[in-house]
Amino acid sequence: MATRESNLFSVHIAKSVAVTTLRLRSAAGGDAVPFAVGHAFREGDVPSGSRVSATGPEAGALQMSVKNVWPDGSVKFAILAGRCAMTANAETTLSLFRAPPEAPRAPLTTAHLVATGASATIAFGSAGSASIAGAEWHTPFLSWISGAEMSSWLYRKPIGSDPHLVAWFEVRLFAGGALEVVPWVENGYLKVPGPGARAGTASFTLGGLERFSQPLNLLNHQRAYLGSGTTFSHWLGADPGLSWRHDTAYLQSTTLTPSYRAVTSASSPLWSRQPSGYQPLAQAGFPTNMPGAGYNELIGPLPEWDVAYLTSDGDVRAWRSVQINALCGGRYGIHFRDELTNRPIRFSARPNLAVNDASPGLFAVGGGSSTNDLTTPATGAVPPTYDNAHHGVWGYFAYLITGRFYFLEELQFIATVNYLKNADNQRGFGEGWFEPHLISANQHRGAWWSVRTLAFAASATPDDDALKGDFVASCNSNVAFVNGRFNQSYNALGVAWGGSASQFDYLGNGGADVRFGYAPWQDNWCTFAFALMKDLKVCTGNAAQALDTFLQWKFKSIVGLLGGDSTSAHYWPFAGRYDCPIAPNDQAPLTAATSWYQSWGEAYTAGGGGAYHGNAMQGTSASAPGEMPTGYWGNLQPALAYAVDQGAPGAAEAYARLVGADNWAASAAGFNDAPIWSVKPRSR
Amino acid sequence: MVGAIGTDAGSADAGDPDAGNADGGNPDGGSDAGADTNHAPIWQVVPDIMFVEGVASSFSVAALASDEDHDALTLLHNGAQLPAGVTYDATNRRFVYDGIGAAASTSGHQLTADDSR
Repeated sequence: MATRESNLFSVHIAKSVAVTTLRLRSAAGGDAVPFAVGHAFREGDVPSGSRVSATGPEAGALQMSVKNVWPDGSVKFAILAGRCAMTANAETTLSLFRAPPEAPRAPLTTAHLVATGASATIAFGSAGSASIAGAEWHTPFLSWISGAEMSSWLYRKPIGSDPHLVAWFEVRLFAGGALEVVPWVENGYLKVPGPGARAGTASFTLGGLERFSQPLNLLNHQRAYLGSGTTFSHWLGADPGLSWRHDTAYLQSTTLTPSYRAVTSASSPLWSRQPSGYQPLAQAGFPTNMPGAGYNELIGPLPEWDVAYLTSDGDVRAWRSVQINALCGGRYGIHFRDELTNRPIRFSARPNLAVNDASPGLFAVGGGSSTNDLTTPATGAVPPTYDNAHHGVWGYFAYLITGRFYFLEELQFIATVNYLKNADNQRGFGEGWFEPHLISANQHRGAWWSVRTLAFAASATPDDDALKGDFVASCNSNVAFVNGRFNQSYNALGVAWGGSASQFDYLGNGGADVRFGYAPWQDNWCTFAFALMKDLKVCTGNAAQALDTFLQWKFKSIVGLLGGDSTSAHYWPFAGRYDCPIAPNDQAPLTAATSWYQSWGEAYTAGGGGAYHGNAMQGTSASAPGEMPTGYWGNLQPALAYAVDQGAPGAAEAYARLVGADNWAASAAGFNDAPIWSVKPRSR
Repeated sequence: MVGAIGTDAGSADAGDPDAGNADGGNPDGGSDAGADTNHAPIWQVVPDIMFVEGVASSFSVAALASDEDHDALTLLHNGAQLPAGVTYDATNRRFVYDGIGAAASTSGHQLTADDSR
């Protein structure tokens, strides 16, 4: 009779400090199904020195790989991994609770990876192929996660002799031997000669079995994950068919996403807009023409597919759509990888570098480089147009819920291409601030959406990532820039407009209308972007205080627009407007008190303030209350929500006016099926 | 799925599932020369098991032991005192907490995997 004893172990019943829950599902099921997910935590929930563990039906040991901590040292974001007994196609709920530190366990190493006997190959037409096998597993490009339940590494290898095509493999190895690979091909560097289109059949082979093969025309600075349908990774053995749902209320409470009021039902027409499967470089949910005007599902604090995950309690269709769209973002020519580091650029290392031309499909490239430090122009077909004035932040949310390095870098690529679009001497060189409208690269909205993306990148980039400090420093610089440019004693309205030689008059500069006007909806995105930055707590040192100072001033605009019914106020029923005068003379620089209206009442009167004295939102066309989910009434919701949560004077009263409107409920009902702008105060 | 790896770090015979077996326990010693070798079960590391006060739940250890010969395994607990409210269910190879027992910790637990041949 053969017997063997286990190691000694302890059994604990811990005082319950519940944190949240995580729901797992496996199509295959099994006694020990491997899983790994990204997970955000509220500040203070998992203090320094503690961790989360899991209990629930058959929950096993849970590995927590911390990537970011809050300023108080508590866990901000981690990748959770483990194995769990799951019945096929039945949801298993893990209760996550605060636990003492885990006893050290030996991590899975590349020796274990070699022991799998796995090989992985990416081939690309006549360029050749790149394979990783045997002892080559010992030399990853990057060790991403190290743990006893799961370790993850990144491998990269040029494809044949092509100077641009590179095969990438994101590998996860689980205790028990399961091996998962995310393979992609990338075609983009900064200054390597000869960038351009590469065509050929791309294939991926794992463990001797071809998993994907398809002709691809990979244009300059695109990248393509090699998979299709709802296969978001390839498994060496049986694919467990995993999906999961976070506690979406908890996720919103972490402040790492906005909070939404919409509730999206299982039968919502929103689902018909979600792609059912991935194809490399496909359009998926992206607009046909990104620079095009008007509402689309990409523009907003987060894209619709990300919001849908939050407003539908993690519907699997949203879970898929988040990943499909984040992968399809590879179609844009924004992937400028630094050939010196093989990572997205660090601003401090590339203070003068700028994109040379529009060959990557970048809309409105501005200014160039004062030292002629430019990327190499590409040849061949141009990728779909990317425009920071209309860009969404795909990749961020996908990273939050999956923890995949691929998605983190997608976010970092977006943040860095926004930097590279600007001329070096107009962005503060390596400071990377976004100056609105001084140059064509940034309309006001382009600047503020870029600040939003930068803030997400600064928050999500792991604390030990070399890019972290650059993103944080750039956030700090952007705060200093807007404080210096806009927060002036002569500007009583809180509107971040003007103050430069090139002002943008939304009432037609130099025409018959001599007033100077701004676009409240764009300016409200400025308010949101910097308030988000505060919520994410990415600013450091004096910049954190400077951000408070800026916001104290900036919140005056959204609060002012939703003012009460007095002659000194902007009458709130008309807040959902396209434009609004802020100065009497469009030929005078907005740099003195005499240039500006000194109260919102003055601005309202100058705008022909109507005599309506009822209790309902007013407006027509995109300002119509009934168009709130896709119109200007929706566009102001994020600024107002953050103003309320961050305690701006008058914000609570402004919010009460809005949600107390006679037509509020009817107008807001549409958010359930179009939830992008349904941002609400977390506290309400 | 490929062969189990790695998680038996710390086991004296990690990497060599035959270590210590060699039919040494076979009363017929030597008489079965040439017959199939019976391999001893293999353990992955059993982690410290955590329940949360007030939350009835169970922790399966079934997947932590395996047998190269695909023999059915019996997993026996060494009888060390468990916290009140926690029992070991040998039939289903799991520890079960009733959700009633108060916060407590006990140590010195060990399981024995037996392939019954």
